[in-house]
Order: sequence, then structure tokens, then C-alpha cells
Amino acid sequence: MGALWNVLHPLAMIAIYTLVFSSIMTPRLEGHPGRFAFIIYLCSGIIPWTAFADCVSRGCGALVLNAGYLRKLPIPEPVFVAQEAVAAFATAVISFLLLLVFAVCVGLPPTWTWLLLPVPLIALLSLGFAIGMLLSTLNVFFRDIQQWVGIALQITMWTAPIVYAAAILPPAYQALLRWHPLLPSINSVRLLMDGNLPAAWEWAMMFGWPIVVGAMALAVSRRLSDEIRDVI
Amino acid sequence: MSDILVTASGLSKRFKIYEKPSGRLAEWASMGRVMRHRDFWALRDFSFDVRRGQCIGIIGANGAGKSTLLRILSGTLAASSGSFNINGRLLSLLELGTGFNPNLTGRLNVLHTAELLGYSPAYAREKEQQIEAFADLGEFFDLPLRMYSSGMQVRLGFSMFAALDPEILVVDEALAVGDASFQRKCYRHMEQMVQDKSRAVLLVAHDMISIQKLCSHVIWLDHGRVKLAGEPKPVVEAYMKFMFTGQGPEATSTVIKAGAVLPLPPGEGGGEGQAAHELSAARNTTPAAPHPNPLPEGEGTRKTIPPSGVLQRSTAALTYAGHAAEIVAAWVEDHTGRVTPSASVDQPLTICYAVRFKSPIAHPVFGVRVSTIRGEVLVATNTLMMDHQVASYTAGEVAIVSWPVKPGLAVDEYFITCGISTVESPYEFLVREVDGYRFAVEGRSRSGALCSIVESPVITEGERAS
Repeated sequence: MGALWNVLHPLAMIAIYTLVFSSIMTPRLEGHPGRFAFIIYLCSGIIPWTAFADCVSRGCGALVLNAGYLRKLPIPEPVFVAQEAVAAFATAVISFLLLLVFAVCVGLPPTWTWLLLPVPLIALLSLGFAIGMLLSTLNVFFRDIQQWVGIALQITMWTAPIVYAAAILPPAYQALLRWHPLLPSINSVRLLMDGNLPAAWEWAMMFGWPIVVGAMALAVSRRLSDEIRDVI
Repeated sequence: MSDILVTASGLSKRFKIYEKPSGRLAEWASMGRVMRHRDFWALRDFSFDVRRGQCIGIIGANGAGKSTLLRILSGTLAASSGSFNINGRLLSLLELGTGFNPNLTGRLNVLHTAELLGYSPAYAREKEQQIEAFADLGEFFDLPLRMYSSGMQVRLGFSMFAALDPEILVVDEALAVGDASFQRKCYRHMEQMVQDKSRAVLLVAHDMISIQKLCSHVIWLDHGRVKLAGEPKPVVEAYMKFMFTGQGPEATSTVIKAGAVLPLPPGEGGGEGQAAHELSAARNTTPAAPHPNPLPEGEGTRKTIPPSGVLQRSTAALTYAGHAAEIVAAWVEDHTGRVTPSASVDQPLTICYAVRFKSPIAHPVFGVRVSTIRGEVLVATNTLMMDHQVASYTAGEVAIVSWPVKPGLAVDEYFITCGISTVESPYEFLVREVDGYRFAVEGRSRSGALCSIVESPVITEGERAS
């Protein structure tokens, strides 16, 4: 079925959440009335998160997975990690299109801020690409890294309000969350969904993180790129 | 349009070998203060030029550095030092499959790989027909690659790279798995590539017949270094000889330092060594030490070992070294007693070698063998076969064994094999150097015969039979 899966997966996700959170469990979201508000909140967090997690975990294994190409063809290493980032972005875009259709169907008024949704997604996946580059380079030398990434991703997910509302966290912790690398992007997605614009510091953080991590990844891969081909 | 397609100078490749992955971590964490790796040099100081119209064959045992070299040139491995420049497009078919995706069909793999290599999709599609025709895979061209045999993968790979029309095509052992008719097709294609003098081929193969047929030059790599390079025939012959002489795992080619001379005190071993076909051995009762000045020559039973340099040490030497004795040097003397690398065909010559005993040996057996570059044995004898009783030696003594040879060796190049064993087990060598040294016999043009034992014919008037 090939490409159809890219549509079926997000569709199934929305359908399941709708079933669970509108009829079985009905959590309330402060300031957002309506049966479907939590589902939209949840999906607009889960879709970027999934894209990011896929990008990092698959990106981390990308070089080892494509050892066959690396050994035999003079292709630059970032190509393989970028492939994963682009694939994750494409999936996220499709999922968002479906989510927006769903939102309109349940009565959310479309706003122009929806047009800005790709911007935080691009920022998030740039960060995913940078982390993927860093980890995949190290993973060539220490193959266990791939296993640790799975655990680290789980922890990252639950330390941030992605599947739950930020309001349930203690205020001290909420202040700390400003520095969470994923939250500016994910919060921005939610703000844009509701028709609001993110604050200036959020834009800055959103792109600051990928630049910082990207610089690190660049330094590491420059240093090790020769040796990657030796050991892969 | 420059004539030189590839220039490489001083290419070396060092691999860091870590016993454990944690060793690398320790090095990183200590910022290089802790060293946990050892270096492995896969390629050392390699230089060459590849010109348009050349087909260069690279031969050598497994692990000699052939693939490392090709990988550096194809850009999939970074050289540790040295530099190279490629003037034109180089495509390399390295090993099997060349990184195809097993889940894609042959057709999609071609398009995908072409794109990864930086060709435009339009160009790849333009070449698709040609690739399909050359590969001749039938319905398999549209089936996933995982269903291909290894031969089929190579067909696809070679067809693709041939069609993409690079200036330099690098082929690494891959063709070996193709069937005979496809191999012929590939070789024909490569011939055509170099024929019009616009492109070049670099070929690694273990099929020496193809190498000789196809290549204009052959480079023999051994342990990362160029052992021999030049015209295909002599290089391949020397290589084959090297590969098929002896079965010992330990192949060394230690070079004796030029000018190292061992002094040999006079007086001992006196009775031997005057008559032809007899052994002359000089003996030394004290451990020999290198002496700065050579002793005067020709004092009866004392002989001086000439500085090595004079006689070409063979690149094909194969040494089985024991702990009991070592061969210090070997050389050839002409009929006047002069040390020479090439003797005259009409004159007798003497083959000499010096043995140093490291432990006491009772009645050793000295042996000698002379063979051609093609492996034909012309002399093979030892003191036991000749009923020549040899004295016993103590540790540190040096014997020089001289073998007078009657004129009769044809004009050719020869290898000398020296072997020392004992009377108790004459075929168990204390030390043996197979094809350790070379010498030439020179004279009028060679006839191809192994020996020249016929003298000038006598022609007389015959009587007509009635």
C-alpha cells in the first residue's frame, strides 16, 4: 500500500484519541471548552513529538544502517540523517493536514496563523537533525548509543507537557521548562492552532537550540568524519 | 584536455586498531593523553599517475592494500597523509553490489544510486535503456534486488557504471562473480574505454590472465607498499612466483645492510675448499661482530662476505628462519673470483653464501638450488647428496659455502635458494631462504632453452649416399 500508510497512521491516531478522550475518558483543558479541545491539544503535541522522536532515533541509526553506501560511494554522511528528517517532516505535514480537517469538522474556526504551522515544525526537525547528526556520528563508534536514545526519548517526552497540560505542573518546574529544547516549538504549534502568535523569546529559543546543537554536531562530525569511514 | 587523469603522491592510510571500544572512549576522554590504539598501515607512500588510455592493474595478496587504495581514490576513505588529484569523473564499482538497496527493483536502484552519485534524474533515465540492455537481466531488472544472485548484482552494478560513462572506472574484484560471457563483455567494454585514449581503467583482479591481457601497467602491492610495478608480464610473473613458492606463513624480506662485513680469522677449516666441486668453509671460533673495515681478501681459506648491494636481493624472498642458524648473505663470483650480479654465459661461476650458526650444529648439510623466474629448477643439490662430509660448528661460527658451477646456465635471470639442515633430518631446515637472491647470466641473446650445454657445432662435408 506504500504511501497510503502515511495517511492511514495519523488517521487511526486521531480516530483512537477521539474515541478514548471524547467518550471513555473526558479530561478537561483549562480555558478550552468543548469535547474535542483536549484531543486537538493532545494531537498538536503528539504529532510534532513523534516527528522529532522518529527523526532522532532513526537519524541516530542512519549511518550504521547505510554503512553499505558509505563504504562504497562517496556520499556525504549528513545526507542519510537528513533523509530521516525530511521523511519525518513529510509525515508531520500530512498528519497536521488531517488534524486541521478534523478541527474544522468539530467546529474550530480556521485562522491565518495555521499557515505558520510549518515554521515551528521546521525548527523542531532542524533540532532533530542536529541531534541525529551528533548521535549517529557517535553511534558509529559506540553502537550502544542507539539503545540509550530510546530511553532518553521516553524521559524527554514525559518531562515536558506533551501529552498532559502544563497547568498540572508545580510553578517552579514550569519556570524551568522554559529551557526545555522541545517546548518552544511544541508550544508554538499549540498557540498557532488556537490563532495566537508565539512570544519573541519563544521564537528565539525555537531557533536558538538547533543553532547551538547544530554547531556542536558540526564540530564533532568535522573531527570524526574521516574516521567514520575507517570503522563503519 | 590534460593527459593525466589521476595523480597520487605519497598516499598513506593508517587505521587505528582498538582492542576494545572503551579504548577509544578513554582516548577521547583524556584528550589524547591516553593511547589505547595501535596503528595499522594499510597503505604506505603510494604514488602514481594515471593517463588517458591506460588500464592499470593492481595485484597483491589479500590485505595488501589494494582496496584501501581504490577506496581512497573513490573518496570513501580519507588518506592519512599524501594527496591525490582526480581530473575527471571517477566511478568505482567496489566489491559486491555497490550499496544497492535490496528492497528496490533493479531499475529503481539504478535511478536511486545515480541520484545519490549526483547525476540528474533526467540523465539517469536517459541511460536506463542502455543499462537494461547491457545488464541483460530479463525480467529480473524489475524485481527487487534481494532476489538477485550475487552475479546478477554485479551485472547491474557494472552495467550502470559503464553506462554513466566515467573518465576513470575503478573495478575491484567484483567481476569475479559474473559468468564467463558477462566477464568477457565487461573486459571488452573496458578495452574500448581505454582504446580511444580518452579514459582510463583501474582494475583489481586475481585473474592474472585477464590482468595481462587488459592492462598496460601492473602494480604489485604487498603489505601496503609497491613491491613491483611496470609492464604486466614481468610483474605478474614475479607475483605468481612469489605466491607459489614455499608454503611457510612467514615471509620476510629483511635486507642486509650494505657494507656489513664479518671478519673471519684464518687458520681453521683448512683442509677444505680448494678443489672444484668441494666446499670451502671458513670458520670462526669467536662470536662474529660487524667490523668497520673489510679484511683483505683471498687469504687461503678465509673469505670475506662482500657488501650486499652487489647482488640483487630478490623481492620474492621467502625465509623460514629457525633459531639455530641464519643466512648472512649470498653472492655470485665470476671465473676470476670477482663478486658480480651478472656472470658471463661462457664462463664458470661460483655461488656463495655465508651462514652464521647461533647454536652448535653437528655436521650440517648445506644445500643450494637455482631456479628461473618461472620456477624451473636447474640446480638442486646438497652436501649430503654429494657425499661431502661437513665439520661441526659451534655457536657464533660463520661458514661460507661456495658452489662452483660449470658454464651452461642459459642467458636468463636466476633465483638462489639456500638451505641448511642436518644429517639426521636433511629435509628439516634450520634456515632456508627460498629465492632469496637473484643473479643474471649474460651473453648473446637468449634462446629460450634452459641451459646452454651444447658447444659450437662441427660441420663437415657429408658423403652422398648412393
